[in-house]
Amino acid sequence: MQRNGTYGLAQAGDFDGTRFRGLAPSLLPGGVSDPNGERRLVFVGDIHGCKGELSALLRAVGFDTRRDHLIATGDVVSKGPDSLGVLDLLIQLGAESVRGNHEDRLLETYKTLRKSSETLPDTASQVESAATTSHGYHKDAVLLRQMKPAHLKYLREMPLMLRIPSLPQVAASTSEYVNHAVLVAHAGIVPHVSLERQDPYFVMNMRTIDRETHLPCSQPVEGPKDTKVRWFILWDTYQTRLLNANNINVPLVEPMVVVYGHDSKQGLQLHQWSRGLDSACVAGGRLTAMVLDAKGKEDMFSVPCQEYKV
Amino acid sequence: MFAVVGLLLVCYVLGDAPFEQVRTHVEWSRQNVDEDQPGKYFHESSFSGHHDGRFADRQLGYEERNDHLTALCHTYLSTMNDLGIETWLMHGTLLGWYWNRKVLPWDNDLDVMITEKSLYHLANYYNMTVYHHHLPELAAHGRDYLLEVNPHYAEGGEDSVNRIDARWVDMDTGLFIDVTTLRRNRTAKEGGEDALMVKDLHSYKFDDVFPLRISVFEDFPVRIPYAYADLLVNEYGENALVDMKYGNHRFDAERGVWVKQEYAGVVHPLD
Repeated sequence: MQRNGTYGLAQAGDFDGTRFRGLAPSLLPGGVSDPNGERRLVFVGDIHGCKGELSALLRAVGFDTRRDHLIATGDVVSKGPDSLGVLDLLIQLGAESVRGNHEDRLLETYKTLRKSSETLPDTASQVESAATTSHGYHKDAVLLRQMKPAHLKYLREMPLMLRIPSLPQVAASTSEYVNHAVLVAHAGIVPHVSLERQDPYFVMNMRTIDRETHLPCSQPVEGPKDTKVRWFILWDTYQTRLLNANNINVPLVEPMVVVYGHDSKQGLQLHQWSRGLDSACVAGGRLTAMVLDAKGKEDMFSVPCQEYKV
Repeated sequence: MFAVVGLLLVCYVLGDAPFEQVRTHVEWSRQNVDEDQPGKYFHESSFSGHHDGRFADRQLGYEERNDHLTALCHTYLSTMNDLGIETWLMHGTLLGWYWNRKVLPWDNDLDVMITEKSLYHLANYYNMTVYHHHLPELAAHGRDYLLEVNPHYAEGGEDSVNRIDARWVDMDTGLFIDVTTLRRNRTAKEGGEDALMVKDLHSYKFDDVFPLRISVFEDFPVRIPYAYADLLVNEYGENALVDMKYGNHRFDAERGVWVKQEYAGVVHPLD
């Protein structure tokens, strides 16, 4: 299948932060602190500052902080009307999010702003002007100046990937329920490359992947002759193969379900080994949540969104 | 008035700084001026396009080149950092960073960019300055490096002959780093308002380059363009990030280094 599928050998980019975080055992549905299996995990797609919609969605799922744990797929800020309000709500709920490309850009911009004002004194005033930078950079600089230390701390602590072990109370045979480990990442994961060697840039930006080389790409598929496929198609194929291999041998790598966001143009994508939850809320689509209970049962909820950005 | 005319004559007729004023150990300049296009400021040596003929009379061999390139890189990065210059890796040097944070062994030079603001800062205050660096493993008495800025630096339009805005030159071996500037695209509307360009009309989106990321290259802190992977794929194609073979080099994944293959009828078991 791979003619020259050596992607993953290069050292690739760095990640300034926590590459992996495991879900706290106390939050695991059916885990040690939940013998009756009452806890739920609520995964939500790209929020992009849509605080009103997030609140409405939490009401729709009957969110209760004593029982439920909220996990966002990244891009919780930018584009929409109330980025700081969303961060405040996530902090208040004890929610987690993986880092999205928008958070990554904000954090890198923050480092630049802090550094440049130390070395080139007059840069700080110029950096906010969209004329000398870009529209997006200007908006990020403005948002950063509004942030309090707690907001920045929250952004900085977002891991690149969040790992959730397979739920202990799920019967292994119930194939229609989630009976495998779950990995949350903003955009996608390259199959066959270990999680340690994933390039953070692509984890936060990929949409497609080359069929032969397995090099990910941040662009969508361009026409029928394109050698790229949507990344989760390849991911699904690989995980199924891993599962089949597990039936005949001791597993080397466990197959995993990836929960992600990022690709609003594809909309909601539910496949055997992946759940794409970005349903274009900030562009007037819907904000979607996937609720996972201790039995591994998934329920989908969504609310309509105002159109803030086309 | 006279002074201005004189200066212009020097720039246009002779190009880079006169040999008599900057010479170190070679007896005459090996710069290949005659075959360059008129008006080109920086010249290269007649024996190699990657050496400055004012400072060297021979090309460095494959084995010795890498240490001098590494020193060139270290001295450039640390000096620019001290001067508060915003600089980052591009092109082949960025590709080397992507693979293993090192100069690609088949590379003869290093590619870096700076901002327009940084270029003007260098031109205004540091043109023709010499920096002495202690390099105990390479040169017992240290080594001098010259920072030379192209007098055409302020002309923002297309000028592929003078696309190199500044050079960081090893005054002992003649190896140098070409410094190009990423400028606001004032002429062409194409590419949108966020487009940036180099004098040879290569253009980049602001958001692909900025905010710069902080990383490490040859064990030194360095800045990297934001969307490094997209830039590399656009410039070199997908295989540049994937192929573990380049020419007669192979990437040793276990050690994380590019190794030169000696082809003497030996077939590598992985081939």
